[in-house]
Amino acid sequence: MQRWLLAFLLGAIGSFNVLATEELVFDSPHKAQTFQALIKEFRCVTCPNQSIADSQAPVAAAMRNDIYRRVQVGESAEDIRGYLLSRYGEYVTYRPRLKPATWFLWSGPFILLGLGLLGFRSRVKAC
Amino acid sequence: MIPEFGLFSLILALCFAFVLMTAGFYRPLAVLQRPATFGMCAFVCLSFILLVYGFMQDDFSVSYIAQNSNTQLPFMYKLCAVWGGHEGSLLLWVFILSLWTLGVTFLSRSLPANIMCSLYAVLGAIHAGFLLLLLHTSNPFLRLLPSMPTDGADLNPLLQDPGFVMHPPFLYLGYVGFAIPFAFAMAAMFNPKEVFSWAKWARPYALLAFSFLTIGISLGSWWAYYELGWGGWWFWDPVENASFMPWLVGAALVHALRVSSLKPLFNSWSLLLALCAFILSLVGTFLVRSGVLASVHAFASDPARGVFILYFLAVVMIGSFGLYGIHLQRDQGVSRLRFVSKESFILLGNVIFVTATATVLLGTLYPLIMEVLTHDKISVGPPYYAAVFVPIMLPLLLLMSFAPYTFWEQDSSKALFQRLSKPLLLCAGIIALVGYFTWLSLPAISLVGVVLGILIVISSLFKLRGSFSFNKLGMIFAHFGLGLAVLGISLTTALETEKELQLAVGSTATVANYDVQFAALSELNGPNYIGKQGHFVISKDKQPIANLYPEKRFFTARETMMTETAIDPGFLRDFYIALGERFIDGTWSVRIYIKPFVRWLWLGGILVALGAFIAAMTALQSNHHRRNVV
Amino acid sequence: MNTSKVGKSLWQATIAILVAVLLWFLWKGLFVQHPMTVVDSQQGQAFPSFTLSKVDDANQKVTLKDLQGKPHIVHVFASWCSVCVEEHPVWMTISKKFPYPIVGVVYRDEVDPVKMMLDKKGNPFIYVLNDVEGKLGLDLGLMGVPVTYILDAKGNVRMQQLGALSLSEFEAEFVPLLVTLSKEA
Repeated sequence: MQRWLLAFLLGAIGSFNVLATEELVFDSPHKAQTFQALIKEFRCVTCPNQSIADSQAPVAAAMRNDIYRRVQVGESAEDIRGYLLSRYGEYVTYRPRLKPATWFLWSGPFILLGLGLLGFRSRVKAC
Repeated sequence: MIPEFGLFSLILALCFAFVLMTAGFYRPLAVLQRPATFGMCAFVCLSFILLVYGFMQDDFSVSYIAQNSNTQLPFMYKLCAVWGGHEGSLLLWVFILSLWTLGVTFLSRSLPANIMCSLYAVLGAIHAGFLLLLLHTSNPFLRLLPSMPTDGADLNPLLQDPGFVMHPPFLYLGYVGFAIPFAFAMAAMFNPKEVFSWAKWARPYALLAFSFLTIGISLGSWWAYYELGWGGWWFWDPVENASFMPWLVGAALVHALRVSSLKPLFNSWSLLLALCAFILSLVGTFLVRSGVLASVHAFASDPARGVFILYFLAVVMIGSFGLYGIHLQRDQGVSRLRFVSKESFILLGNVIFVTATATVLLGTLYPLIMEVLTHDKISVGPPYYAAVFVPIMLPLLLLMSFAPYTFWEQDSSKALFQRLSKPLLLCAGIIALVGYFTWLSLPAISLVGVVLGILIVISSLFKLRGSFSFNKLGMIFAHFGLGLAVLGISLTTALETEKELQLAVGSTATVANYDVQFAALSELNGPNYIGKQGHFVISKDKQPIANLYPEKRFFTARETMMTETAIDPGFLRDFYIALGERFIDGTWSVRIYIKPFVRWLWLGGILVALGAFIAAMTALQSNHHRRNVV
Repeated sequence: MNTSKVGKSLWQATIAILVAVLLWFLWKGLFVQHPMTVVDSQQGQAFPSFTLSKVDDANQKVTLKDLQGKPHIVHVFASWCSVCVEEHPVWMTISKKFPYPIVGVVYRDEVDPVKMMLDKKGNPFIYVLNDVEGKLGLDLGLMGVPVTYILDAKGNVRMQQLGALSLSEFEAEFVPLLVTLSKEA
């Protein structure tokens, strides 16, 4: 019984890969790098918290294959990001886009550092 | 009956905790505090032991045990299944708090009575909060009677691993340990006459908690690396961040306390840091258990629990910061520091640590903030932290390389530079050597990391010269460890190779300069799983150098599939192989990673923990000695 | 910290504000809602254009044009998704009780398991499309399966439900909209 279950499960899992083999070949090292960078940037939307690079979920695989196809065809990273963001919204990217709502996110830490350094200066005599 | 005893013990412990709290307000009761503390801690320990006993006896009439254990579960994992879910891990939290409380009780016997009274009261209050949480929303002893299952649902296979036996206990020893400096800070603010002595009493506990937390985080990172199968060791996941923030503040705290324990300087700052370290631990507890943030790690969420923890957090925050506000009113003016002095550099380092902590907090909470304000969902992940956190930390790393050489109170930059001339020379030599070998292939940020790492490592080693003290040794270990970790991180992120291939049994692939042969595939039969095991041989220039056995396990009780990665660890590089899916034609998807220097990260972590531990023991001993002499 | 009184008060006020803000956000965060049903009462966004073949006949292709002209229910599912399999009887009931056409789309699935599932549990769909690569899923911004869409006669999405649907939910929320849309068409 258990062996049958295992075989079924392995077979079922294996059956997803009818499409592309996972060995993704690129025309150029630049394209390979772009691909690697992009898949680490995007979120697997059906997982609790994983990038599509690390996830085995079907949605993640679909996204990886789509990004691979687009990179091979020569689409720029910005275009690919644009496509996925238009379909999924900001949730899908781990690098928040810079817009008024996220200004504080990107600048806050540096502003805080500045304030901290000012505080430090008020404590310290010029040497 | 036994589970009911467990529950009853918790109730008794709560009663003792109330006694402790009341005695804080009504001093004549203070004489009851020491016995009440023993009572409270004893009953918490008893309750924990009874839960462990229930797991060992496969008592599936208890709902929590039925959800997390199984008759086929190996003995070691039955033990750690105790903290495999929310209720049990919360009991572990209180158990560890009791252990720390007992520790303080034994080791700080001869402190002034009013300080001890406040200390007991605060620790009692923290116990009370968590015991109420347990009893009200998270009872680990809830029964399933009358219909008891014949077997349990088994521990999540991801957790059936030696790493899991150690990771949460060490992590909690760290997090929870910051309750002690917190309690000391509160006691100091309640008893203004003692407000300048608290630092030297609290310092050993802060160092110890920091040491344990460092081990806990290192273990978590190492475990994620070999368990999750994607070769990563840090994802900036909210739960990881929840443990990292107290670590950052803890690092600032132990440095500030060093100054505060030696001279009447930075006292208010140290108080604030001590409060923040524990409060960040509580914020972390809230984030992980309330379901407010999505994470692989998060426990099953329940809004009722979230609400309760938030109330407790609010009480602690308002109470402690309110008291701090009052303390500031009383606080006298402070002297100014000279820029080139050890105190000034420690303060500067503190500023960076606190900024870094705020950055992590901002990144972790921003999706929540956005969702509350605009109903838009965003994600903040590794790309953000790489762009913001890393640049902020770089100046701190630079500071670390020369601050230990600076004199207290007053120094000159020229003299400092002269003291550093030999180590700097050696660094320049090593950097030139490294540059010769790797210059063109490293991205800029990794290069900076490597240079800083070398600077820190060499300057720490040179500190071994000169007079010996255990305190200095602790500092050297800790700084050296961090330098090593920085080197490991910079090198591994720049030089790692990752390939995902489709291989048939018997075939060979080439990754980097190595040949990877898929030698064989065999059947597996484990205690509570079945599966397949692959045999891979890695060779270089036809010489076999490593054999790896990755597995695919099917756990029968939970009917889930797990990947066991195979790693060939090495000081200079790791080989890492994980089996993916099997294709219809019999070939397998295989992920192969080559990770140079990745072990340096965890080795560094252990050294940091060791350094902090040595400093803690030294501080404890000197406190003890001081008291005996007086 | 600061020696001046102003500096002190500023510092105290900053701490108080930060504490209040943090607690407020954490509190609000506990009660954030994630609606499973999204209604687009205005025009609705256009359903992405697609060309997919049917599961039972790979040569027959269906495009978005075939769905225009009258309202359709589009249900995305997969045989490997246990929630979808559990929900399936609800769709059988719906197909028998209501006249609206239900189009099935299988997401990144294999033909044989899907056929097996439909043979065993019944086929409520007028036809089932095979989104084997998941391309339609990507264009839809699919967050998981099962998902159900209501398309109006122009092919715009007027309502979507994430996750499993129950018969009572369908009758309470979907049917009124379908009635309205059928009248419009």
